[in-house]
Amino acid sequence: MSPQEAGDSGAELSRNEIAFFGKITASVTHELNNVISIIEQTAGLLEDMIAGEERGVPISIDRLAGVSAAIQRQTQRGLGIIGRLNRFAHATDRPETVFDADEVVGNLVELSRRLASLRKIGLEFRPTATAPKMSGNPFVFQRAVFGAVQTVLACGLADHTVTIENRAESHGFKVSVEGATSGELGEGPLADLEAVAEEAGGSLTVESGGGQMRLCLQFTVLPSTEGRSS
Amino acid sequence: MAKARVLFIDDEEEFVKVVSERLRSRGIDVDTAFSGPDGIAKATEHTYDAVLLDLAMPGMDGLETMKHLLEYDAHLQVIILTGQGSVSAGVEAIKHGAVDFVEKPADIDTLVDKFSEAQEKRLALFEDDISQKMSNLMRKKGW
Repeated sequence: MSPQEAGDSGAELSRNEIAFFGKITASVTHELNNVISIIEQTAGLLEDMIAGEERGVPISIDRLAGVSAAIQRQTQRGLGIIGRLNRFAHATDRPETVFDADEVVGNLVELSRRLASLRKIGLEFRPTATAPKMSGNPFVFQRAVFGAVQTVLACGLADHTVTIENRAESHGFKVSVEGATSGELGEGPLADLEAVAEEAGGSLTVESGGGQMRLCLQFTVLPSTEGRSS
Repeated sequence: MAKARVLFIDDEEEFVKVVSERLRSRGIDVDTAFSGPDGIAKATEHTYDAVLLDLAMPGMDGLETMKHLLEYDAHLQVIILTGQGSVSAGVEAIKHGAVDFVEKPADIDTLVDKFSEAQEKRLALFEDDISQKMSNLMRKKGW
């Protein structure tokens, strides 16, 4: 490969990484905008109630309690979204680190839930019981897992659930993404996903048939069996 | 003029409920639906001056929902609700038949103004239709 080709390849990879980051943040900020919108309108409702009181319409304590509960509910929802986005963003802090694969995949599944919901598809995450530590780049790892989820969603059937399962095995660690699909995938998306899996230090296997698709990302893990990080 | 009758379609139920309550207190007659198919079903059962329609909904999205709504009632005034920074999506919706778009969280008084305009515009469209039919009839009869 010539230096020019190498440079082009690096630029291409960088665009893909930015696209992944953009897709996650666009989806999450859309959801956050919904939360802020509800809080803003609820504050407006309070103003309406105060204006009504000034015109002689008494404010009901029950209504006030309902408004307060709505604000608290949406605030908690917003904080949850921000926390997940923050954990995701910090995956870019260090290119090489040791991380808890259950925590990282669990967070990514939550961030992907809205994208799946737009296709009327549910996501179910099954963590391991042992919380295996992985060594590598958590951002690239997430891109591989997200790619697998997106690939199954792209041909997934509405009103079904895609299952993301982490499994510790004797020689490594596996993330499988499985769901009911409406058809076969082309070679292009799978070749792209295979390249991302390799970059993340893993490999991709595909099982498809009978209206089901199962993508498995196989990784090596550190021998550590220490508990989950806090 | 009678109250503007509006159908609000959005999957964010809590947003729909609070906005609807505020619109009702401002004299707008609001009906609600939490999905495209539910909204289409309501629009075939009742007559509305305008529809406030979210673009990003699970399953049938706003653009597809609007297509069905306009097939059923070509004079229906569809106002699109978009997320922040989704101006291009709003413009795209106008190309497909929406009359306007508003970014969430949406100012309540702006919405009321838009519904009043929509009601007047819809009435004018029906008047144009009647006028056209009368004119055709008179020409046909040689009056």
